[in-house]
Amino acid sequence: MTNTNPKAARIFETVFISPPTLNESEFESVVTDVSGHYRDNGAEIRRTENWGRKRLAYTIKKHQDGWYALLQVEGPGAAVAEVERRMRISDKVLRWQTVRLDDTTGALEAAEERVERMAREAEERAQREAERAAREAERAKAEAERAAAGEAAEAAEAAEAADDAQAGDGEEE
Amino acid sequence: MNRGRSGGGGNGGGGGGGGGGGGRLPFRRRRYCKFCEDKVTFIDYKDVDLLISYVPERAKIAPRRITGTCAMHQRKLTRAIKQARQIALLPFTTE
Repeated sequence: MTNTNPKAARIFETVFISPPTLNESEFESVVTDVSGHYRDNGAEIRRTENWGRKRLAYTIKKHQDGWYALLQVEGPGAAVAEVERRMRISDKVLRWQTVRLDDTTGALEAAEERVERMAREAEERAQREAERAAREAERAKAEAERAAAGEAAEAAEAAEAADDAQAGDGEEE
Repeated sequence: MNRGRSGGGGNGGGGGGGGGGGGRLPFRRRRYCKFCEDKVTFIDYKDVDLLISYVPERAKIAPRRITGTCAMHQRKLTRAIKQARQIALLPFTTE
């Protein structure tokens, strides 16, 4: 049975693209504006994602790239209508798409799973990064030790060989 | 170049196994729906890495007869691909 009550709260997901002519902070303010319009119309923001600047699969208004953002909101369909009206007018939004999540089997679960997966991946990435940094530090340390040892040996040799001058060897690395 | 035909050829007729059996065995490996295998209930338009494997070269949606996707999942896949195209995650065509 379809509930057609226009005031019933539903869950939507909006993805929109802003032109690449904006800089990052300008784009962020567009995201804030759009979220604000949702709130003003009685919707609650469940999630905001900034995907950053991405290459478009095809040219839109002569742009090859665009800033992507995703908003997941819970609110009445009328809020979506109003936000879309504003986006249509704005020249800071090239394209948008709103899909309803709560009427599609598995969509909400998939969205949640995606969030978890992204968190996990970010964590893994951070861990790898940390491991790499640790390895690098270790290597640098080992190298420094080796260099120091070499230098000491060289210095000793030099001192032995040429006792006339303490030319030593410059601090070459 | 008179290389003559190398033997073999014979009468190609081959086919038609022994007795009157009409049952021809499918030679292709049986295709199966990858989504059914994973018990997928929803195909996300944001999952570009997945979708891209169903829009070869010309960016046309691969037919079921090629991919073996079941009817239900093909519908979901088609929808996801069309949504992804709408927000320029996937191309409509290639130049």
